[in-house]
Amino acid sequence: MLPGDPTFTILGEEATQAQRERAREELGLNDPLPVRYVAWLGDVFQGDFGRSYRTREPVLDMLEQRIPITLELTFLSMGLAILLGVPLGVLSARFHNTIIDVLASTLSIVGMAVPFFWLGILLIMFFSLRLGWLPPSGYIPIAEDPVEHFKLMILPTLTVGAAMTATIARQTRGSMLEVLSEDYVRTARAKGLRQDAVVFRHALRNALIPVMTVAGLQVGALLGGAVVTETIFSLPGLGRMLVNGIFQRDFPVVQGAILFIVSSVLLVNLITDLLYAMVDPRVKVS
Amino acid sequence: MRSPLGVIGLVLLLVNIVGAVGYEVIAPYPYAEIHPRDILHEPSQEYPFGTDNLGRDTLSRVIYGARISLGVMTISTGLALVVGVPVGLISGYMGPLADALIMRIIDAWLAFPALILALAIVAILGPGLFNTMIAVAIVNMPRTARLVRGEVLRLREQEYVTAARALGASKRRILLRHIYPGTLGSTIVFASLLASQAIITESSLSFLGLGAQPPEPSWGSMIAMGTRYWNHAWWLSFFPGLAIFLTVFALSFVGDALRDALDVRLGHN
Amino acid sequence: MKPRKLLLLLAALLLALAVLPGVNAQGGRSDETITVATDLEPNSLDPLFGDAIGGPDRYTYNLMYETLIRLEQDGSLTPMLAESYEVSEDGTMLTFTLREGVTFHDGTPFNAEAAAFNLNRALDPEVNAPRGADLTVIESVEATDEMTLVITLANPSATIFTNLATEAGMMISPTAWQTLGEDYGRNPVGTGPFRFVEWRSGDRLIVERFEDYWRMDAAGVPLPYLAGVTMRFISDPAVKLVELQTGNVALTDAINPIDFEIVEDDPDLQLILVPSGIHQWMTFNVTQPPFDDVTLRRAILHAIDRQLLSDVITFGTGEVTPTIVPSFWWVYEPELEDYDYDPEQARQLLAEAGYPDGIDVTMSIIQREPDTQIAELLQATLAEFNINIEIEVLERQAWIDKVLAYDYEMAMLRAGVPRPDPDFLFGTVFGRGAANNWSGGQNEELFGIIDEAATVRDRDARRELYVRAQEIILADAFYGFLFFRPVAFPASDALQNFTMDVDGGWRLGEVWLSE
Repeated sequence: MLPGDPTFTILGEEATQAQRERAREELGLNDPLPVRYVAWLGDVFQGDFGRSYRTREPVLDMLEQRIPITLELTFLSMGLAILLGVPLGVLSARFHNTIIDVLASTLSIVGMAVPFFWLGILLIMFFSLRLGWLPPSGYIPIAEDPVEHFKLMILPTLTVGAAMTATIARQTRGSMLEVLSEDYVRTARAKGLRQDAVVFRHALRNALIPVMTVAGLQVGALLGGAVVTETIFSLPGLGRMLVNGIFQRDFPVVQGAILFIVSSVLLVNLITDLLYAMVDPRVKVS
Repeated sequence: MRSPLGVIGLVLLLVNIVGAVGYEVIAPYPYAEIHPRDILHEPSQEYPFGTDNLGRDTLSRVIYGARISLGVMTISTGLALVVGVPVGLISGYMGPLADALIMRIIDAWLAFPALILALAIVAILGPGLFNTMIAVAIVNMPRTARLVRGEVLRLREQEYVTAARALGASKRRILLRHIYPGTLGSTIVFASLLASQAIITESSLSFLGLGAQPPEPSWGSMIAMGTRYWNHAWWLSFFPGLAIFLTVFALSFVGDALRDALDVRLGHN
Repeated sequence: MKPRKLLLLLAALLLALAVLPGVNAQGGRSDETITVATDLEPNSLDPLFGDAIGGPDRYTYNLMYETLIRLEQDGSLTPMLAESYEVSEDGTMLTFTLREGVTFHDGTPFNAEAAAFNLNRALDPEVNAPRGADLTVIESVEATDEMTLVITLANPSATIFTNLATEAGMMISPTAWQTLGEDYGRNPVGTGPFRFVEWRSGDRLIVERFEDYWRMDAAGVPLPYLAGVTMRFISDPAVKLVELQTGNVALTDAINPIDFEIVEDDPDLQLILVPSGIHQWMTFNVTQPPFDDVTLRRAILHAIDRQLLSDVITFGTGEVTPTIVPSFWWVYEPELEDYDYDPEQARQLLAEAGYPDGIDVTMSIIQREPDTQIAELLQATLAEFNINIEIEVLERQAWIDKVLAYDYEMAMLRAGVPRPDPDFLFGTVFGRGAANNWSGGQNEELFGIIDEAATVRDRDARRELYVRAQEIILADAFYGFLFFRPVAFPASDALQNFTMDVDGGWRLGEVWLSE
């Protein structure tokens, strides 16, 4: 898949041509590309993801170690986005066309436009380098030290989650406004229900359906963001595994990581569709 | 265009374009000119955005970076449209078989998160600015096609299209004369979304070291370089990031304004 | 401290290390664990698959592995797993008497059989280990009895002891290798002060004290003093510094020279100068025009302001030397005639070479710092002479392919110097059939001198030869030697009794922490 000769990564610069040839032979690098790909695919179906060219570590072991970290980062970011984004959007809609709305909307446009890796760097520069409040990088398993663990996850979560928070806030605001203008809400209001009760009980539930879809669609973007963010914060997750794999021409590692990412995006899409059907009886799952 | 935000966006974008086009005239120094006596000089009258580790003027480099970013943005978005629009038209109008086939491919394509797909493509093609452009274009093609197809599906049930069909106009003629112009509005608005995505993707790849290669200063690679000196020179990462931010900001304002002006409603893309 | 003093200090440090053998530690056994950081993660914890000699893998390997003998800063050899050795009259037979009572971390006893197994493994073409190349002078290895190992060489070698003291000579447990096979590289078993606990790839490596370790300090306290070491892999130099300042990390490898002063000024930190640094240099492709012309090469060398390069890139901590040899290596000769910055002469030579109006050249570099910075500086400064450099930035692999195929004009190089033995540098770059003959230059006289130097054992005589070699190298002008940049490790002030290998490898077995 990747151009370049991985034997340089494996054997270093000073190895002889004969040593390189031998290593290529052992790794099957002399076979034509389609042959290699089909062989790899066949192995994957049997649960064998191969070994990293560089470290000889089984790719499955690497995935096992790294997936939880990336998933945690993704879930924390999504949690942040929903916990912050939905209320922000509701507030905006509730106080439509007031200063609150303008502020919240501006904030969400800023959130969407800010390049997340730049945000991550600004966060490190400010909270770690300048104030010394949070550690700049690294990873400690939750079982080892929960406090340290979450301290290390705060900045990466903010980095990945900012754009999604903004997207969700914007989406919530939009659909809330739409729902609020619909007939049954007007009826409820006419019946004398207090405005806030209307907003929360009736509108929110319906407004959340499109929000959920957007959230589901954003998982792919979150995973993409995690790739770069893990690199900034030295989190040993899937993303860093992928980026390092690309730099080191470590094909099995790159293929394994991409396979996992794509499968999880497909899975999330499926789950979103199912949830959608559950929440909204008008949608039939085909 | 009456919205004030749209005007702000347009002005920002114009500033960008002027910088990109007029770099030779506007930039205070050539972007590669070194000043050994002014290494990591903080922002000052002489160097408004400070200097880097070789004493190069950050402002000039940011201006040159606009040329790279806008270049990648224009070419990759153009490429995505040139391929994506016809595919979307065909998929939406040429019958269920073509549609089913094309949509299958597009769905598979879209299972790759944008940045991951771009990474994978650059991994295959090799790092560099040109390959980054290609990667961004490939990422955005199916998105464009899907949008256009949706528009076609909507438009082909419109009365004027049905009327044309009843009058015996050929499929080709209906598609090009009646449906295609109707899709233009949303395509233009969508292009502004693609453009900002192109900028983010290019700068992310350059940040990781897979996009623009030194000595060419791309905003993304400037941010990455700045992190080597972030305890000494905050300006190295700050200004290029600000440039990306303002450009994306501007594009989204302009996109919103265009949407209002053209009265287009986009689905979730 | 003025940065320039660093080099003086470096020399003083080397001297001190040579004069004060085995400083007695005032510490004792403590139950403390320290965290240290390095930027590059090893590919494998099998030392035979380590990076180049003296590379960063050594930090990790030294925790877990030992060699028969250890090379010290002053060039002397300390017995480690071997108690003593003898060299036969003709210099081709080495007999080692091994230390009794040493076991591997898995309980396997260390004996002549295990040692022979290790050296044969390094030479085994089936294993195909990169570091095996360091022992090719060995013809055969034999365990003549339980504790006696006999090594037969193809020819006398001045470097074999040094090589045995590096990665290729590190002893691993034969049992572990045989049972683990391909998984050995992630489950290392040696005889060293620490035993392997866990390797979280991309993040950290954890080792703990080996309770049955054989070595004791002068007072009879068993080593190591520390209860364990955690090695973190952090690539960003600025982050390393922050982790150090906040006390999360007690020692790290190289940081930016610009930060040296910050460390010096911090009362809680110390800056430890490394006995080896990096020489930044460049090569001309002399196998084809335009650089087959020595006049043109000399013109370019006279056009380069090396002091400026050094000052800008190293923030004044570097030094400019006539050749690749830094001033504190024993093969250094200050009186060599080199190419000073001389615009007048540069222009004259350029005209003489047939380029009165300047020349366009391409410089191929690897994408890494500070190589790109140096190339950009050269580009900017040589433009004054109408020497227009186009910089071609390549990935390491592509760069090596191109340069060693002599399909380039100029290229940027770097080398870690000094090396445990000068032959490790001269032999691999300037010698006959050198694997890294970057320039493609051939000079029989030079080859002869380097061949001879590799077999002579008298140090003064060797020095003469290497100085003569440097004279020829300068006259040929196949290469441009730019500057040497020192490397320094910042550490917590509490870190005590920290020592290093000749090429900077950490020895944490004897380290302790003060209050």
